Amino acid sequence: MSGEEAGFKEALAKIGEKLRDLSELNVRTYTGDISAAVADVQGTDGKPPTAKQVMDQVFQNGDLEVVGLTSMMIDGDIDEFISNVDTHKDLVAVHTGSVKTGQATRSAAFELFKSAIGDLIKK
Amino acid sequence: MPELNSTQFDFQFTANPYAALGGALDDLTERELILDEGASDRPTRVRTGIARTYLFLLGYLQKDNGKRDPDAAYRTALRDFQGDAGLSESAELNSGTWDALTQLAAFDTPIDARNWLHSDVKIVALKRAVHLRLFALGLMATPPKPKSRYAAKQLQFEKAFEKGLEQFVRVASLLGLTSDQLQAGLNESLLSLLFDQDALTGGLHFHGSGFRIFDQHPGFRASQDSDSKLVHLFIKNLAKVELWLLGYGVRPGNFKPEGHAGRDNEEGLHSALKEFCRDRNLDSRFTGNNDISLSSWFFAELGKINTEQNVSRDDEILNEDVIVDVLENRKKLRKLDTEYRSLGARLLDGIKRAVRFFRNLFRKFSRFVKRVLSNLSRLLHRSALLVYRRLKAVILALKEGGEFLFRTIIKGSNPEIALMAKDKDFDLILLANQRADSDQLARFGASVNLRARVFELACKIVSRLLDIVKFSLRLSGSVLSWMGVLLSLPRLWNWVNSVLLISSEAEQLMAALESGSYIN
Repeated sequence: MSGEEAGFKEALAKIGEKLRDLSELNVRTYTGDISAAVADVQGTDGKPPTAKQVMDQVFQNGDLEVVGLTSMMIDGDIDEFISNVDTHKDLVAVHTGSVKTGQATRSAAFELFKSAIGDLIKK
Repeated sequence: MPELNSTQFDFQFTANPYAALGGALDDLTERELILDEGASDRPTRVRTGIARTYLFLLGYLQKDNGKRDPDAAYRTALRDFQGDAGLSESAELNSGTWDALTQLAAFDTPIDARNWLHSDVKIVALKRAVHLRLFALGLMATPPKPKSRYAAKQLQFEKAFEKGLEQFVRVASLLGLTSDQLQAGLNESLLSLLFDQDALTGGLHFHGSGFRIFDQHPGFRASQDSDSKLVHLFIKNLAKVELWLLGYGVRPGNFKPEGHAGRDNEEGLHSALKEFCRDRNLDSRFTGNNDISLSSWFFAELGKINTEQNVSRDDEILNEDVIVDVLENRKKLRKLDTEYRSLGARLLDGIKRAVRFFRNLFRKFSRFVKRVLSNLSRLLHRSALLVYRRLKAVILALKEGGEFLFRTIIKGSNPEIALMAKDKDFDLILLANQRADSDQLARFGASVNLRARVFELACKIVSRLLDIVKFSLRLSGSVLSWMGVLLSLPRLWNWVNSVLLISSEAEQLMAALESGSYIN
C-alpha cells in the first residue's frame, strides 16, 4: 500500500467517525438567571466576551434548571426528558422547536456532505 | 419701256427673313400672342421680331438678325420708319407703328391708300412699301434699301420706281386684273390693286398650262415679246407670294436675312408647287417626267382654298385664323405636353406615395422595434434586478449559512432572552433567561428556526453548485458530441429551475430575516 493510499484511507476513517457523531442529535434546554451569570464575563485582550466565554461562564456560575433533554438516534430511537413545571411551558415549546431545528440542520448538513463526497465514498 | 428678262429675278430661296418670320410664328406661345392688338401697346418679343423683318423688307435695316429684342439698329430703323410714316419718333413699337408696318410690309394686310397718299410725310414710307411690292412681283430689280444707299442713286431709283409702276399698269392691263383704267404713278386705284392679293390672283382663274398661260388668257392681248416676259415674271412672282403666304418653302423676291441675294432659284418655285400639289391631292398636275407647270389651275386652286378656309386677304398677316390655327396646334402640343407632365406628375406622385408608404412602414417598424427593444430592455432591467436581488440573497444566505455552521453561539442570541449554542455535530444547547417572557422566547425560537432554514437553503445552494461543477467536469471530461450536449440540456434546465426556486426562497428568507418578521 502506498503512502497516498494510506492517507486517503485515514481521511475516510475520520470522515466516517464524523458521520457517526452526526448520527446522534442532542438538544438540551436550560433556564436560569443568565444575565447575572454573564455579568462579570471578561473578554480577552480587552475585547468584549465571546459567546463561548459567556456559555462557559453560565455553565460554570449559573444556577440552571433543566427544561428538556432530547437525544435522537439516526435509527429513530429517542431519549427525552421534558420538565413538567408549569412555568416551563413556553420553554418546552422552544425546546421542541429547537429539536426540529437541530434535525433539519443536521439533515441538511448530511445531505451536503453526501452530495460533496458521496462520489468519493462510492469509489 | 425697259426690257425685262427672267435673269434679272433669279432667286435664292434659302434662309431669308420670311423664314425668320415663319420661325417666329412657330415659336409663338399663347402667352406671347395677343389676339386683340388694339388692347395693348406693349410690344411682345414676337412682334418685335416681326417688326424687325418688316423694317428689313422695307429697307430700313440692312439685314435681319432674327432677334426678338430691340437693339440699337432696330431702334434707329424704327425711328426712321416712324419719321417716314408721319408717326411720333419714339423708337417704340406702339400700336400705331405696328399698324403702319403691317399695312405696308405684310402682304395680306389691306392698305388705307387714301390715308397714306394725302400726306407729304407718309408718302416716303408708302413709296418703300410700293417698292417692296413691285420687287416681290418681279417688276423692280432691287428691293428697298437703306436711306444711305438711296441718297447716292436717288435719280436712278426714281426712274426704276416709275418704270416698275408702269410695268404694273401694263401687266394689269394685259391680264385684265382690273376694269379700271389704271394710271401709272402713286394713285389710289393703283395702290388698291397692288396691295390687294385677292384682286391680283382672282383674275388668273383661266385654263392654261405652263408658263405660257398668257397665250391662252382671254384678256391677254399682248403681241410684243417684252410683254410676254413681263407677264411671265409677274405670274411667277405672284405665285411665289401666294405659296409663301401658304407656308411653303418659297419666298417672294430674293430676300435673305443678311441682305438681298442676287440670283433666283426656280427650283424653289417648282419644289413648292410640287409640294402644294401633293398636299392638295392634285397628282394629275404632274407631267410624265414628274415635273409640274404653273398655270391657271394654281390660281383656281387658290380660289378654292380661300373659299374653304374663308381666308380674307384683308386680314393682317397675323390674322386671327392663322393665330387660332397656331394656337390650336400649340394647344395640341400643349395638351401632349400636359399629358406627359401629367404622366410624369402621376409617376412622381406614385413614387412619393410609395416613399410615404415605405416611410410609414419604416416608422411603424421602427416604433415596433423601439417598443420591443424598450420592453426587452425593461425586461432585461427587471431580470437583471431580479437576478441581482436573488444573487444577493443567495450570497447573503450562503453567508448566514456559513455563520450558522461555523459559529458556536447562534446569531441572534441575547443573554436577556436566550442563548443558543451549537457544537460541530449540530447538538444544540439552549439557555433561556428566566426573566424572558413567552413572546420574547417565541420570537427567539422563530429567529433560530429561520436561521436554521437559511442554513438548510445554503446547504442546498452549495449542493447545487457542486452539482453543476461536477456536471461541467463530467461534460468536459467526456467526448463532446451533439447528442451529449442535447442530453445534458434537460439536466441543465432542471438545475436552472431548482436554482431559481432556491434563489426565490433565499430572497424571501433574507427579506424576512432583515425585516425581523420571522416566518414560521
